[in-house]
Amino acid sequence: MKQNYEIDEIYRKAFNDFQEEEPSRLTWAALSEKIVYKRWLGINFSKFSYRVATWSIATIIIVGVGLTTYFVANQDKETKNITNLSQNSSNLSKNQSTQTSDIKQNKELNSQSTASTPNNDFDNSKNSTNKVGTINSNQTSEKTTNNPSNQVAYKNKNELSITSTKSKNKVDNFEVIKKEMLNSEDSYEIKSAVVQTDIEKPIPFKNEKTQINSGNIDSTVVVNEIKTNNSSDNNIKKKINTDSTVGVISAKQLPNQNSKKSAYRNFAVSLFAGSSYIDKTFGSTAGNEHYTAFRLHNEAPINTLALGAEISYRFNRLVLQSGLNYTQFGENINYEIMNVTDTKSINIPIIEPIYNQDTAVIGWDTIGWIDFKDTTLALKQYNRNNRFDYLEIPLLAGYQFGKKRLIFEVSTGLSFGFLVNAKGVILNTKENDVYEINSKNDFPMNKNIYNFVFRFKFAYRINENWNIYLQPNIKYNLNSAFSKDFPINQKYNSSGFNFGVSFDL
Amino acid sequence: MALSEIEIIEGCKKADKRAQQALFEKYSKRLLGICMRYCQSKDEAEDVLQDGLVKIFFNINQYKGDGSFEGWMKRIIVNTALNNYKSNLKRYYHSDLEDAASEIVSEVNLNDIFEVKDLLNIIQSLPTGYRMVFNMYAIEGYNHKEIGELLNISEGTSKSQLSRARQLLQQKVAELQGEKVAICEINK
Repeated sequence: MKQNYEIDEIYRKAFNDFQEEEPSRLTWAALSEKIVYKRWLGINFSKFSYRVATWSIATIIIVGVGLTTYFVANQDKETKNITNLSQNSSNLSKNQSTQTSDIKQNKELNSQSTASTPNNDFDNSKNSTNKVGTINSNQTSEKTTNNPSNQVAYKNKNELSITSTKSKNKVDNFEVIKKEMLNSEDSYEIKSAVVQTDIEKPIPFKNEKTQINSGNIDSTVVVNEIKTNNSSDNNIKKKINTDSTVGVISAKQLPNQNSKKSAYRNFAVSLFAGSSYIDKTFGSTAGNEHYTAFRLHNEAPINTLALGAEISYRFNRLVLQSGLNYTQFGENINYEIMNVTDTKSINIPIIEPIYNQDTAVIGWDTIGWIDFKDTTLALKQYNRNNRFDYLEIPLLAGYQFGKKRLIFEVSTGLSFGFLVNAKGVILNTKENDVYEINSKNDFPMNKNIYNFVFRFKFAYRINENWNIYLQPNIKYNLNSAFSKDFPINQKYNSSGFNFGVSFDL
Repeated sequence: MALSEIEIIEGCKKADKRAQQALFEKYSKRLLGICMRYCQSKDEAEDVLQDGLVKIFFNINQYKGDGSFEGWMKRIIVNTALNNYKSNLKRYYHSDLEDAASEIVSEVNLNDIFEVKDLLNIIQSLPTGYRMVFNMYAIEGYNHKEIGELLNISEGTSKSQLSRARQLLQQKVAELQGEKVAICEINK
């Protein structure tokens, strides 16, 4: 057995103060990159790369907002120009001294329309002489035949065009390039339609009496409102509204509609579920740099479930939203902390012998005491999942774009969250113990939070009432998730996707 | 001017890069020496050293001045090496205990001077489990109960592996000793 201990001794002596050569691969530069400055979206950032990433994202957001604003502004401007153009067109035709028989027909149609639908917002018989053409469908099926005029009506009018019914005031080759959906087989509504010619030159208005000839109409003409409504007639003919009158539209018989229901058509309810990636940032960290660094290093972001039921109100392109959402914040922690479990004071006497005259020891005398503090340290490991559940009430405003069945919406606002459940542990700022959290009332939880919310929404209209949508979203705590008595200002942020379905009331 | 140990500790507690770099430059060789005993190659040892240093930087506030700072760092490095061993258990080659066992060689003369590098090469050539137990018991001073808890093995296994490790080391050290004697005689 002796040799066993010898081999131990050989190694113990050899490696007691052994120093290896310089690390060949590991350099300070490489190591300093590993000493994480921030962790965001699950990615560890050095101080430099964090700054680069932050500025890059800020730039992307600013450019994105700028482009969106530019796009929206241009769209409005274009619509405005188109409206003016169509008004010019109307005025011009209004000045025509002689109307053809087609115009008379139009007058007749408009008169019929007014009589049959007295409550129609878009009816305006006094402008009936302004009509220069009719709006027809490109589709050739389901053509109504008992129309008293030359105008035709179709169901499912996805491709409307306008053709002149007057020989001297021709407005040819119009194509509807934008409009809202016609969903029902029995009724439809066009709130906005843009018609466009294939000629780029401006309208050559030389004087008021200038006639519009075929090929002289320029660019685009907007039909702001085209709406059909219930009527007792089998075939009703509706003119478009006066601001942009370029023609009349004929429509097939519509069923009676509930006017009350119609008033609520701008409301929609939606349900969604999704996943959110939860991370956090710390506010002012002065004096607590190590604490925050330790937590960022030993805590991992999580993915959580998001649920919600919301109601929205839409007018024009603006949308207001509210409802009730369920959100979960938190993190997964893995702490190893050293704390003092026991401290004992031990007093050891200093004693000296007492001699007699013959220098023989005859006793012992205590001349002092030495104090020792025996400290017991324990390494505690916490491998836990912090989960903080909130019910939130969002208050959002948004703007909606749309083309055919696709709808794009951007919205932002605040949400107010109420803590309903909490479970986990949070390291104390002395870094030697944790706060156990078993309910929403436990320190250091803050029961109320409010958040900044920003969402995109990509929706697809399935039919007249139902939409499905994908909704990327981000959310930031605006106040700390912890109470004011806790020195650390901790704010969660989430980014994720919701999948939902909405129903237009 | 080189920072003192206290300045390094206080600086690192404030996440001061200059202090962190000073710590790296002052202690990296010694800490790498520990990693080398627990790892099979220098590359692996440097990986462990990197992880260990990151832990040291992030946990330095837990060092309250109880005991030596170097001892505290060594413990973190050893723990990191053990975690590395546990996470790579499937990758390591485990030789059969019986195959690894060999006859006990004669006494080793303590007066012989062995190159540390030679001893390092020998210990690195041990099967990983043996190397871990021998390092922890013979050099770090853990007892079998602690080793069992840290490596998730029984005390009996720890004792057995230590015994086998010693046998192998003695055999290899004796071979090294024989080679050295032979070289000396040739030189004469």
